[in-house]
Amino acid sequence: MLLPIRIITRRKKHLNERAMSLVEILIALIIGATAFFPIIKLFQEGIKDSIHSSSWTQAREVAKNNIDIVLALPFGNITRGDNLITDKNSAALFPRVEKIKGVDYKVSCKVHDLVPLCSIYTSNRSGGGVTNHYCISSKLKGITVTVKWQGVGRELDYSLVTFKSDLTEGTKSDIWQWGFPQYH
Amino acid sequence: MITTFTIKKAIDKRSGFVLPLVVVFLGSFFTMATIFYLFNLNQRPVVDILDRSAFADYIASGMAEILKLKVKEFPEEFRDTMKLIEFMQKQNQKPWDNIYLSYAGSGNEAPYTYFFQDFVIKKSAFNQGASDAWASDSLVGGKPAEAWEAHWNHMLHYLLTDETAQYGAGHDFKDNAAFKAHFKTLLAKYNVLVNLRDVRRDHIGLTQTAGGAEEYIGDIITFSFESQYRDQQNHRTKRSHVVTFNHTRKFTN
Repeated sequence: MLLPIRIITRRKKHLNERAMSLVEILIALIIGATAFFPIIKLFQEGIKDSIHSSSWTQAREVAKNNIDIVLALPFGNITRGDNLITDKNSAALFPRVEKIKGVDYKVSCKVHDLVPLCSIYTSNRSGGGVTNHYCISSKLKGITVTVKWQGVGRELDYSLVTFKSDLTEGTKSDIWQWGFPQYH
Repeated sequence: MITTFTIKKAIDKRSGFVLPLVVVFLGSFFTMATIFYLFNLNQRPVVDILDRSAFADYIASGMAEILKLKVKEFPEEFRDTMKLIEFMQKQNQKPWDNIYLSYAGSGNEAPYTYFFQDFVIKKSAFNQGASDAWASDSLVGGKPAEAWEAHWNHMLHYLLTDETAQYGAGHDFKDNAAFKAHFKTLLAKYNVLVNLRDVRRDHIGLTQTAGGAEEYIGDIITFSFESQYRDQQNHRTKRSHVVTFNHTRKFTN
């Protein structure tokens, strides 16, 4: 069956029109994918960062809260060692888990009994002076509160360190001399 | 057929304007996204800086506790030192300049430097290299000097000495050595340095002559600390910490 001349003419016209080949489509897809890669990564990183920032902020606040709880305790309750601190009812404060927005923040506390060394200058009436070094024992604790939690793909931790001193009246037996006096 | 033809015609007409608009919009969008991705402009540095500032806050308040203890145990020596410092300040001299520079055996040592020089990083003979490198922001091993090193050396060798150091044998330094190892790791992690910057007696309590044989007098003392650490752009940044101490001291009439 012969086709009408009009249809043949139209088909020829279509053949002359520029069309997209498979290669062109593939190139366009590759360019598109390359362009979208940073976008996808950006969203991915954005979500990761959001989780990261939120969890670190929470962990920091948990650490601050817990170290403030420890600092508010009487000096005698801040027991040397790992997680040995007790509250006024003699209940252990650590380790503890605080659950915030579905994340478990594991809080622990380490206490070191410290002996600071202090240099003291005393002048005498002849215009000279003497420097002595003294160690102060049983009156200073180093407190470290550590918060651990499960981050994206790995366990993260944040620590705060501070010191607490016993400022009640002590005895001179807690202070001992280090080295020899230096006369000036 | 008529409709398709009309739309096609309309697109052809406007494509000269729409196409560049779409290209510019998408191009800038993708470029911005690439810049953000490649230069890692995200929230992590902000989190890091907040971690460091909180760490510095507690180190500064902790150092204030050690200083409070020293003032409490040696009130006469503190008073003598403050009298000298206050006298010098009234004469427009700068006693703190020498306190910052003094360390054992240095020419800057003076009667008023001993009480506070333990709380200033640029102090110890053990510490000169690291503290000078930090102060001048010079490169150590091809990278900027680390703050923690100066701090750690100071705390390690002097303020929290132990039985392995000079004159240490035979004494009980309790957890000093263990704490220093623990502290070093944390200081290196957050790279924070805390220095004492100023001490003021805001109020000096007066004795009540009509009182008993022993009385307690309250002095109000202000300690100012300054912490330094690196910010998001790896520049050094400072933070001030002011601690007030209501020092109750015993006075014998």
